[in-house]
Amino acid sequence: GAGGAGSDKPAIDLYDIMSSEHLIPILSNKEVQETLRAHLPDGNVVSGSEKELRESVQSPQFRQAVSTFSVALQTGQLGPVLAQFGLPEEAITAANEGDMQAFAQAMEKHYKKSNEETDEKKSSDNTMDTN
Amino acid sequence: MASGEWCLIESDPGVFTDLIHGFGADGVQVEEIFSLDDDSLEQMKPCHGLIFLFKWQQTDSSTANMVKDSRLDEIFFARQVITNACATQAIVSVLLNCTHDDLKLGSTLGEFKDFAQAFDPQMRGLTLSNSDKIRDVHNSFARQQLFEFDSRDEKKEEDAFHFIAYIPFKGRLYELDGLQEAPIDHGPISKDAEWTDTARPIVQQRMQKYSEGEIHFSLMAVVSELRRKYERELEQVLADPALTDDERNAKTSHLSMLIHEEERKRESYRIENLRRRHNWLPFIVELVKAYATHGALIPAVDKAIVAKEAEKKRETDKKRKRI
Repeated sequence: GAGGAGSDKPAIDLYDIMSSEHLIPILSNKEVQETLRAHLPDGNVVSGSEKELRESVQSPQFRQAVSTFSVALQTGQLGPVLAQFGLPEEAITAANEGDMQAFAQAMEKHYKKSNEETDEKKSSDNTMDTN
Repeated sequence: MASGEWCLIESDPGVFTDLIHGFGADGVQVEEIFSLDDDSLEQMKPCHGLIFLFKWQQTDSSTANMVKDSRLDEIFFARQVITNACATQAIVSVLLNCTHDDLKLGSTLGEFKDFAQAFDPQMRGLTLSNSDKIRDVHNSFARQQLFEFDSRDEKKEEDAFHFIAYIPFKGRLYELDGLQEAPIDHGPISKDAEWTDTARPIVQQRMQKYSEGEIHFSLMAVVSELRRKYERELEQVLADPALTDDERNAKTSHLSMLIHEEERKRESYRIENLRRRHNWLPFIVELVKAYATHGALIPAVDKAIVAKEAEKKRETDKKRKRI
């Protein structure tokens, strides 16, 4: 038989993740919206609304880019590129090894907000809304 | 032989329409055709050419009815010398053979035609692939590369696509296939019908053949700019004294809706092309960071891996069953 081939880690497409149930709550976050909006194509459109972000993420052109990104990440070619974005060392190492799971863990270790932090944020947001 | 790189571009009516405008030609647009029934073809009137696209594979193409006489000097037919240029080649083939008043060819294509018309099909093909102006426009529709890298998994999308154009020319139907030596003559166009009616059975036969062979294909039409067509019709309706007010209102609102739809389409082409040319890398990095910040990255990756493994298992099982 063709031994070995079966033991390869299956390549995953990050786009499948980005169109998952997590996307809507993340895109409705005002801070995220602001950060992402800065990286939309110039002259894109009108308002830079949440709808526009959602449409961009759902566009075949974006999907294509994410698929390329996914392949590059899992073939270990993305490390040097990601280093330019100032990602944490551990995430770069995982990217150099093409290890998506290790990459995800390194990213969360560095960026994930603790629960208290998020709760605090929420309550302060609420106060602002009621004022 | 052919100098310079030609990028692979997407087979999409928006890309093709903007490509035509990028060449400096005006008055026409490209529409995708999903059905060859009367209604669909009626909407495409006046149609100047059909472009049939499919994944290229070695076929037993017949060389019957090849044009070998002096018509070779009249019909602008160029042989395809490089693969990636085929979208441009098909469009240029239709435009350079079109004599309809609606089409304004513009200087780039006009000069190219004047220059290359005297050559044989092989030399025309070389001249086209060496045209810096035409190549630059073509390449401006290439997908933005995130960065240079070896895309092993992208092979499936790099399949060579091949384009064939069908055009009416001086009362006869021709097939222009850059991989053939000459245009193929499909005979006279019936005088009291649209030329597309003559083309329909021939195109249908091809579609049938490819459907059976599970070959992916699509069909595009180069048509007069629809917005201008509807505006002309609107003027006629408004000036027609034979219409009752109700009839006029109904027609006016229908045409206004169609015009609005064309404007919407034009705007979405514009945005799609912006997206196509955009470097999405910083956006993706920020989105991945946002996933990490919200603690959504690990569960999502895990879930995707489980799904992928399940898919892989299904495929292995399928293979086993076959053995």
